[in-house]
Amino acid sequence: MLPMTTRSHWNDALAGLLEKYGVQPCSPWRIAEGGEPPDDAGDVLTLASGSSMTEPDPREMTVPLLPWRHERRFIELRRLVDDETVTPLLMCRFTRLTDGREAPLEAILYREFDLIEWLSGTPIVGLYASMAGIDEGRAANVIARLTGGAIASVEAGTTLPVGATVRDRHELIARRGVASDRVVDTQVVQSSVYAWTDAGHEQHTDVDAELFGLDAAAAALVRAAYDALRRPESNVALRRQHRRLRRLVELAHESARRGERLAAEATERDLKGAVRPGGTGVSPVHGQDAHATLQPPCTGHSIPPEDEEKEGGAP
Amino acid sequence: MKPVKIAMLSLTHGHTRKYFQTLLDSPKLEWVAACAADDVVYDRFRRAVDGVPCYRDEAQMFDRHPEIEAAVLASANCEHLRQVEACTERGVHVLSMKIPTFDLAEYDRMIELVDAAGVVCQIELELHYNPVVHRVKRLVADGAVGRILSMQATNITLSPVWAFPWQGSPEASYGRRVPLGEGDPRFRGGALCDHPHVFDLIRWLTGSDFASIHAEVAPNMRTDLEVEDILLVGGKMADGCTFLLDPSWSRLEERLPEPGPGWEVFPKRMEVNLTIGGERGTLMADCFGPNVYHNGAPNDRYTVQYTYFDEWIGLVDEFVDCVRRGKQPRIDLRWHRRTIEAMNACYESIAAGQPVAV
Repeated sequence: MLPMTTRSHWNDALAGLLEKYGVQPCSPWRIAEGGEPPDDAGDVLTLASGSSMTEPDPREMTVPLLPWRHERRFIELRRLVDDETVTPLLMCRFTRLTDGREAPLEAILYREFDLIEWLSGTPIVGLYASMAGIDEGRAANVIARLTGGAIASVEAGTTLPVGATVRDRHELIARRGVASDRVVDTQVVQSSVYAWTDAGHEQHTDVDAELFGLDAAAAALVRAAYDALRRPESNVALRRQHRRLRRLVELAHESARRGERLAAEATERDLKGAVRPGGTGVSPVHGQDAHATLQPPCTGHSIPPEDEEKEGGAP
Repeated sequence: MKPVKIAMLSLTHGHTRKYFQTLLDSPKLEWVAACAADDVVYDRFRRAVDGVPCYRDEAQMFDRHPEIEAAVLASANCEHLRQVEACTERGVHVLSMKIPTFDLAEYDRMIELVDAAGVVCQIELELHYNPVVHRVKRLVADGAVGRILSMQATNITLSPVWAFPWQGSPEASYGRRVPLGEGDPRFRGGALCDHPHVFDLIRWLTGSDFASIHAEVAPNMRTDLEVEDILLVGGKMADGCTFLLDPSWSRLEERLPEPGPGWEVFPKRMEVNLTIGGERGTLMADCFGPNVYHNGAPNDRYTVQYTYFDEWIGLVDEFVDCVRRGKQPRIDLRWHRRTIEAMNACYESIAAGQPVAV
């Protein structure tokens, strides 16, 4: 959904946040629309969504962001898991369909794999993928297993017509409760504002007053970039998770090619990037250094606690 | 810009906790002290906030902290005039809750005090800093729907009285004990007093003021309350715009002593929805949606988990800007007086059983 705004808007918005909160980055920076930094980037820190970077190890002056983690809906879904409002998590059902320009299939898988791990607090340890379409880049269905024994599905597609709004849905199913970013009995995304006027029909969803004018995805990208500049120490973990996600995407392709369910091995170091304290728990998987390998799937179980009051609503 | 040294008073208003994170996080503020109205509130505060001294006596707090530049009056409506007096005599800027007072003589006294002291008094109507409202204002200002002919708005919530008992007290909420009408055992001071936002928004969006108001009150949903909880308000603006407002407590709640998970019985504890019909089109808005949803702990009921709650950031930004640059807030006492008059007119209409001119 980034087309609503331009890169210069993102950079202006980020500059505004840095100034407002008195954050002084160590080096010049820029938000890039995607992919690797240009050759003349020099010592400019390039901030871009990791889903748009094809290299597992981007250049040193590049930060592969995970912007979706800054979307309000995902922050609240994660809170529901962390607070054990829905618990223990048994299954994630995620869908994301685009027109292919907003995000190609690999970018969708990258993002949804990260959301599975981040929302559940648990790494993916095995997956089965089937793909279809031109060069297998139009549609994918993935079933994954997480360390704690939970399972997850990703329905990914780039089959929407050009210009169509992204359709997605994220549902967390637990023994106690179901959480979702879509309201019950609906299939399509709601908006905050609908206008039917002489000029036609328009819809708006504004989620961030400080970054008014940016849509949810762009606001999340700017928030992610701000966080990376405010806490440069987090960039190591971002790069680590980027490597991991690229391997998982590769693993999905490999699974689709071979028609087999494959295991994703993760080292302790890997898990630090994917898992948080107080998540759904991790039974660490031991093995050689950081890459997805072909192994039998792992199983296990554990669900730890945490409780915190959360207040919402006022007027 | 130098951070404004701020204090919070009473800590009994339903919005109190909304300020905690903002006051702690904002680089524009330095939270130097708080004063709790009673021991229960004091204990709650101590559990929620570290590192901010909390007093039980306002004068003592002000005396110990002469550096205080501004105060949030997070208190029952009946405390506001006294606290405005305490602040203005010390030259302390005021961030007032949404109802300064319903007594217009008291209200005018507040204006005098603020003017004489030369301090800022901003009224907390946080919807102005909501991104959806921002979008609606922009669309209307850009003429998307043309001249506004009609507006319908909900400002419906659960009732907060079990956690904030003063909101169920006619004296503490409305300022005195006034029967809703002849033979009605209930008194002014309930849901209407909690919901000024839509009365304010229609003034902003139309650029007009209330001409006539008719209000009807239903039998109470909560029969043990002595204030109203369900009502409807209709009428016309001076520019001819017709309106229908629902400022009810029509969403049932669990009677928790402290807000928290499981408060709501109805899935969405708070809703502000707008429908604006204009000469060139229609606009509908949900100021607090879409969100995320669950049916988990503690009550396993379908529940809205809000994703909108950063209004206080913009509100504080404006307040600090006004304090430091000597500007008037968008919602100051003078602007807000007409909104309070309109809300009083609702009660007069309920008592009269007829529309009243405003």
